[in-house]
Amino acid sequence: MTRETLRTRMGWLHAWVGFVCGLALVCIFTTGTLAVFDTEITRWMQPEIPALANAQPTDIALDRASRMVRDQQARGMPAFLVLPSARSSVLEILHYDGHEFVGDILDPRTGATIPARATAGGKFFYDFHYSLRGGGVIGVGLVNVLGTGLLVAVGAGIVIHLRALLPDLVMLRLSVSRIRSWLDAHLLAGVLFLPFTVMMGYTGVLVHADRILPATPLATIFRHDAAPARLPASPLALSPVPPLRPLLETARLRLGGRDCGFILFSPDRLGIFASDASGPFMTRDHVDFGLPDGRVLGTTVTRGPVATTLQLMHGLHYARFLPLSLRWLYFVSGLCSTAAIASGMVLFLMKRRRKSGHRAAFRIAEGLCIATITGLPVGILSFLWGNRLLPATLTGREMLEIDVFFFIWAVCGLHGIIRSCCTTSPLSGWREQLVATAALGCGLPLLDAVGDATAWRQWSGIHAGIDGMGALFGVVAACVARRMKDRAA
Amino acid sequence: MTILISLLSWTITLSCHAWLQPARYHLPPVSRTIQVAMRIVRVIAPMLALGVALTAGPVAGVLVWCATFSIAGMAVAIVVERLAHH
Repeated sequence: MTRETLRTRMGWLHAWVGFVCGLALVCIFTTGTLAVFDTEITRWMQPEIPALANAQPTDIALDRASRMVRDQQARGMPAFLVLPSARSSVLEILHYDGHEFVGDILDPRTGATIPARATAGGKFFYDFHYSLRGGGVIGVGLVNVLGTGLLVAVGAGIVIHLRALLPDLVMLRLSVSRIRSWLDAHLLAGVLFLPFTVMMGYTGVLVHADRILPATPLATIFRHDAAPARLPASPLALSPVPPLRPLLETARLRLGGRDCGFILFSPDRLGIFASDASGPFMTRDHVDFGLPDGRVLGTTVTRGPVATTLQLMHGLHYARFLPLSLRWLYFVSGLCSTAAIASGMVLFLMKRRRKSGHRAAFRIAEGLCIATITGLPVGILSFLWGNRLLPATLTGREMLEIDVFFFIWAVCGLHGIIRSCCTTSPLSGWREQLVATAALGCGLPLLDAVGDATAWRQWSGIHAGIDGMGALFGVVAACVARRMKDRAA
Repeated sequence: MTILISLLSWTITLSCHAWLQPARYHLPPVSRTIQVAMRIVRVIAPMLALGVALTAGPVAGVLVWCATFSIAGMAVAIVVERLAHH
């Protein structure tokens, strides 16, 4: 009797917390899944960048890059230098624009600026994933609260399904009633990808836990965000930078042979940091050098049980150390976890349609579901289409790409709510947006092919992967739309 | 190769898991001897998968082990559903 009561209460908690948080969690999981390949998506969106396989930066390129960093700092821009890696073969001089790191791309052989189109790139998905474009305090805090909601919903779901958890591990019945099939699909994806979902939810909440449980008063954080630190504008304050090559070699030795990831330049010193890709423990270990002579000031290596645990949590969540094969496993797991949340939301509506389907609140909830589950993919595909269709030399085109994404998504949201509230067949809203996904997804490889054929040859793996995924989603959306049409008929 | 072996091991494990409950999954029943063999495989194959996965390192190994379990489970569920349906 007690257990039944507990299950009933957990059912309520799972349904409502899952649905309310799920509306945003689908977006967070989808963009997080795409962010697994953020560097690759950025490469796809900048076809002008030539393939420079295993190109090591030359002394000339490094010196030219350090001069550029100093020039930008003299103008008050807090720029830093990102070194080439296995995933990105170029030098980058980046600064934070309030949402993501943007800046110049340099040829690692010559140090010349590569005239690539400005793009929001895959970093947009990364930024959206962890902050919902809401900034460092409100956005990240909201995502953290939603992450906690996910863990609550998952915990409640485990209690509800505990008795059948192991026996029904691979249970899927598609030929029974529609609601039972959706429940099986939800349980299947939810249970099988439970380790991944819990790991990502827990580590995600933990890496930004300070945003909901701040160690410093919130007022301090707000004041810090309101006035971001800027470097002194006077060029006289910036010491000249010695040749970087010997410093990189020294840093590599002092960091235990780990690759160097990026270099931060202060007025009188520079810090060379270990690459995030050098292992599962994502550290900020670095070596400091004094300027202008380049003498070693010290090595900072953070160790200890708490620090190491946090480094592992960061490493597991950011997944920057993973090879390509494991990255794909993360991607597939992310998609299936998203599907688990989305199917739960569909179930929530199905269970209440008969009793509450006529109510305005239900219709709006369904409209929001349409906007989230089918509207978001339309927005994402439009973002990729926008990258190819907007003129490459257009000023401020990176913001226009983002505008395209939000505009199309807003249109989908409006369409979903109108279709849900104003028609007798709410399924038409789902179907029409699935058709839009199918058209945009299947058209993506064609759009890419008529563009720059050189980029296709140079980055064939990346183009095949992204175009292939677009086409695959298009085909899946077309199949679902067709099935819905058949059922309606 | 590590991923493939782990995936295969989990596929075998979860297939055995389904076949050990033929009534639940609407599958044809199997003989007592095969059931015993399946029980043994269901215990040994995940350990084999873990052993192989850990060659990629402790952290990456556990990630591979868990991810291949999930993906193999999806594949087995779809195949078992098709078999039961027919």
